[in-house]
Amino acid sequence: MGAAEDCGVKWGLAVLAFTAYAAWQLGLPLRGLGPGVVKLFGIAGQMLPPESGGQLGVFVYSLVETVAMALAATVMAGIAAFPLGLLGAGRVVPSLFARWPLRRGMDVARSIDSLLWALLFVNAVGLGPFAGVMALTMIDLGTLAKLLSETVDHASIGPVEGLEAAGANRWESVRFGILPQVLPAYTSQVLYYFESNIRHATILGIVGAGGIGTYLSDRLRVNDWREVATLVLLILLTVTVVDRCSRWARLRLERGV
Amino acid sequence: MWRTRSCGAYSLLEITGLRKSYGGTTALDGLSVSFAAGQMVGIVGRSGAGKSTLLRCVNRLIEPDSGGIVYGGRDILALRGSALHDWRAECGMIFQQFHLVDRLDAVTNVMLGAVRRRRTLPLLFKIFPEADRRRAMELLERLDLAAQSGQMVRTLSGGQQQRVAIARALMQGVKILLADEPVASLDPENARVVMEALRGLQREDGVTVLCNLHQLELARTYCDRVIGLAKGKVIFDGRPAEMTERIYTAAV
Repeated sequence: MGAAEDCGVKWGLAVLAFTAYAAWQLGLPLRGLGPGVVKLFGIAGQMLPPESGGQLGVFVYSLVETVAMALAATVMAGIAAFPLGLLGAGRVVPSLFARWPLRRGMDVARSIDSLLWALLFVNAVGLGPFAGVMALTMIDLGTLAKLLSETVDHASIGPVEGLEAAGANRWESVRFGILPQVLPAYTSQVLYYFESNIRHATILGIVGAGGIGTYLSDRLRVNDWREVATLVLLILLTVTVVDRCSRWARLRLERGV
Repeated sequence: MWRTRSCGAYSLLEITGLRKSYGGTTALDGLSVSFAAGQMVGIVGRSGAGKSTLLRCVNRLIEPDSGGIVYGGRDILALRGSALHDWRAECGMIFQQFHLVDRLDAVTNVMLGAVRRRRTLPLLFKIFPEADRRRAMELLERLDLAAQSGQMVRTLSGGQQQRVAIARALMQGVKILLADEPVASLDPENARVVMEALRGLQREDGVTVLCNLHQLELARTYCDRVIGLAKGKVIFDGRPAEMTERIYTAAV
């Protein structure tokens, strides 16, 4: 008991000391924190009242584009990740040798940040929403496929065994033994990624990959805080609405309706 | 087709010198036993006696390390690919935890019993022949489950699920049924209903039933023959009346 507490205290002190050292090394200007906060409030003041500079139509259109980007990426990734996720599962493909490259590929796709993917695709396919869609698709593809592989591997083996004992071949036992178990969870994950894609899609414009972020980064650069406020409010509204709808759909799905 | 040696006129399934061990533990230790056609045989013994491994070796869900399994002159251990799937369809299996497709309705689960006789592609899209649906309904009716045919299996009680599993086995057109602790997770009344259903399969359809049981009492009531297993070997083989509680506790 006492030894464990001692150990905890030692670790706590070590972490604190390291943090202090890191802050000193980075030269964090803690003295600048106060004025910074004051300035932040100043900016908040300059945001009022929000206005659109007569460009509300353009903003709303770019918001629609953002949602469309998220939707396109989710649908493409959701469809493509399904077979990949199944093939990455040990239950479906028992050979570790065959699965390994697929699983590592998924890891690579999802460990690169969406902004980085967007930069890569802007270079590859040019400025615009297509690059953004591709960036989001890559990340979702990796994550959804990996999640599905893991869901499949954790699914109950019972139905599969029951079907195999009835003479089912591998296709049939995967179709009826595994799919009904994992499909609701998978659909729910895809919906969740749609929500997350909307949030990501709003900033991809900063690197030129389409969507409302294009205007956001532009207005930020010229310190047009009132228009920034309008854009942020629009994004907030959209994210909230999509989140609500998607959560409703996911809850219904989990209840099995 | 090979002829079995010395299989006797009535022997349908002949198991010789079956061995299986998992890591260091021996589940089957050179077990030999033969089964006549059309009987209901209870296999009793403690957990770990090898009952479950024995049944799973028969339909090849588990590969034995060595030994022989011959059914009606066919070398079961030599079966590969589609011949193996055919054999599994011919010998049904039901499980303690039912092992049905929880998220499908009862009638679809039963229809899946015909999986081996139907083409894979339409099946993957849940397209079943109308004849299969009618047959599945008949079977559910026979097992007193007509009212539950459209219900998701996971909403059914344990006893009902086990009867759906029996209906699926009947849909397979089984000649022999392996029942691995079929009533171990059921209350006494449901256990009785399920055991009666298995008895019905044997009496009315001539199916040979091999049934793993924990309770000697059930074996006495429903089986023609009782086999006692301990440590992967047969330690008792005879009529239920001969297997007294004393022998059971002493040997098993």
